[in-house]
Amino acid sequence: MADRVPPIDRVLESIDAAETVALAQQLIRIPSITGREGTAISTTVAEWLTAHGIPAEVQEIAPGRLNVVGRIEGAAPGPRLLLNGHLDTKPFDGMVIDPTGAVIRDGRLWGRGACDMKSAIAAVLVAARAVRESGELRRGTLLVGFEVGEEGGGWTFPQLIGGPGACDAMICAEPTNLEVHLGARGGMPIVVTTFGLATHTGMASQGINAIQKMARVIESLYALPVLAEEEPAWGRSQLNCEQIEGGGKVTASVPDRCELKVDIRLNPGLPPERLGPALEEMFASLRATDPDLKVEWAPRVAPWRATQIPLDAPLLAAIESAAARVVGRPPTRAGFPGGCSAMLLLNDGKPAVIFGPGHIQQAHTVDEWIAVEQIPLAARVYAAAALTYLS
Amino acid sequence: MSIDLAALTAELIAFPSHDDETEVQRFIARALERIGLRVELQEVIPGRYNVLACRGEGGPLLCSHADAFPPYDHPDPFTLRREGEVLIGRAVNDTKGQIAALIAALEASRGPCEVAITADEERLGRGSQALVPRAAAAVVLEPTDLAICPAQGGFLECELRIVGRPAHGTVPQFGYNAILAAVDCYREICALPPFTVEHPLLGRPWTTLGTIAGGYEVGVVPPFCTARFDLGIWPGIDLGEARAAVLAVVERFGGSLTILDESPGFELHADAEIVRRLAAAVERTGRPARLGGMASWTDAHNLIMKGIPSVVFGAGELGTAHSDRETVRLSDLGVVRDVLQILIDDWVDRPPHPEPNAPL
Repeated sequence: MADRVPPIDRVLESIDAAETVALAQQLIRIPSITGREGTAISTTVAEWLTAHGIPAEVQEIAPGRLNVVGRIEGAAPGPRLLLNGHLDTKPFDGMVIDPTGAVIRDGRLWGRGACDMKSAIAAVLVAARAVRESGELRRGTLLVGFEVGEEGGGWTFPQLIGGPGACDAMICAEPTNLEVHLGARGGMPIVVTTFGLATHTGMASQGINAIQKMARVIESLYALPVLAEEEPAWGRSQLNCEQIEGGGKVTASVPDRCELKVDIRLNPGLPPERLGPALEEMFASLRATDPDLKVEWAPRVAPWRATQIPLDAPLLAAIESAAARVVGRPPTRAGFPGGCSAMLLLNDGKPAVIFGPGHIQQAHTVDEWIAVEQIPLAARVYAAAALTYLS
Repeated sequence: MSIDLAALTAELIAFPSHDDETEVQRFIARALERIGLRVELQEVIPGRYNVLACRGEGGPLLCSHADAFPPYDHPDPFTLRREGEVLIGRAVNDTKGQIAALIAALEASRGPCEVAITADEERLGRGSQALVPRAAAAVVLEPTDLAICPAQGGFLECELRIVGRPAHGTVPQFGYNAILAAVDCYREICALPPFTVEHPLLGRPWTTLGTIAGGYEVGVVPPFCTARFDLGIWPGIDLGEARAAVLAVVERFGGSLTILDESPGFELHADAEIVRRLAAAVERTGRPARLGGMASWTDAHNLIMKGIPSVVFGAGELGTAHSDRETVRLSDLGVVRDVLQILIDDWVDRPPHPEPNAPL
């Protein structure tokens, strides 16, 4: 009887939902703020792998900062598939829930990292164990690899795949709400500076207020025509005015300088080579209509293009069929709105997709949570995709 | 022996007086004593002094302030530069040039008067708050470009805080951007009627977004933004109503508002006695008397609150004050000196002093 159950379904049935969620809770209870993660999160993951028969290796990035890789060899040689996530989280500042409480309420698991992305780490671990215990890995190598520093603390993924996490294909487990994300948006973080003319506030009309000039720049940025373009699976490119600083001397003087940091995330159809001239044109027309406007802009880091997996890639077929099998309907295709590890592989010409539990809307929030039901579903999708891709 | 206005202005601005005006006050006190006034230092708060001086009984109160706007990145704030007849440097018009003109006028005149050189005008106005003048009216010396200003703007100094809803910076549509909300909120406030009604002498009220700060640099929809702004309150505008209107806008944006400081606007009648006397003095120098409005808070506010009709007058343009381009024309300081001398000597609550050797 049991012999007639297809092997993948048997593996999926072996994944226990409650255990997966409990593991996610355990990881959330270990603080691992980006840049000062501490070793506890990494050694917990490494020890869990070892305890379940998966050889694990830690990669020391700096004292107190460890990446972790687990390795399951298939029956025959073949490609190395990496299931990847980051162990670090955003800081706890301003959170309105207990960041390490890992409480389950209303079908949600609450805490820092619940969505981004400790639940996904738990799902990857449980999936890896199910694959190992099934003995069904036909060929290649299934790697699970987790890095520190992704959330701004000095990203170490390049070291991970330059070292023990070296791979040929990858599923990045960042939160996609169980959608299949074909790649990651490009980015062009810029800084805009407006310059004014200081004067006594009582004669504000004789000065040039750099902050008020910036308000006009902001308006124009949001009205950029290239940001209104829609792309299938990707929607629109996105703009976030993330930081502003203007004036600050004292209030009795018109501010003569204002600086705005803007993050622009780019669809495949809007590479930096298109956005740059579009911005130049926008600033030129602003200057033309306002001779008092003195404004400069510059990229804050080298801009990067969006990346996308070829639509005929076997890895894409494997994850989509796995998701359809587990969730019961074909997954939505979309583009990952931010940067993630998949970009590095795609830029190297290696297949990578992004698939994970949790909605990015809940990432980085003051009351971060994840829908509990998505965690074991993700684990099953990872196991099925690995067994399919490495079959 | 007449006083060299440029040299005296240079001496006055050489004293840094943005944090503590005591040194320049001692200098001013000595200068006033030398020309025969009775001088005392009035301690306003520990270690901060007004200079009070008088000559005879009665006469007008002539008031200015000794503290200066901080130098910040002014390239050379304490050294007077001279380009032709233009004097350049921190406080040349706000207000050390005026003080030089006043000292020169006192030296040249003989009539009775009261003098108050205040501390702390640029910050909290505690100097003029502490005054107990006896005079019936006052002239407050500030840069008005020689306009006689019976209308004076008040202000509402506000701090706006907006709490946004953070979201991953790459999906900004899920958040509420506190920076954008703060900018929009300020814009709506500026469009409120109290800040758009024109005044015949003051024009349109000024509104200045002085500082703004919000957000992190790390890929989050900014969850907070703080903006400080000043709104001009013209005479005739009810301060309480203006405040309530601002608050209503702020509440619509889900923000909170702190009033850091406020003052109503004031206006003397154009035919108030001090206005007429000052106008007559200006005309006696051979120039037309021109009325104007003082858009900024000055010590005149505190004097008016004490029941002393006060008018603002002086050389230089307020628009250059507080900036690195602060200038004043030497000839305009000369006009201020002459006008003040005439005002003092023509003051009529006692007869003009007799001409030497003139028959009584």
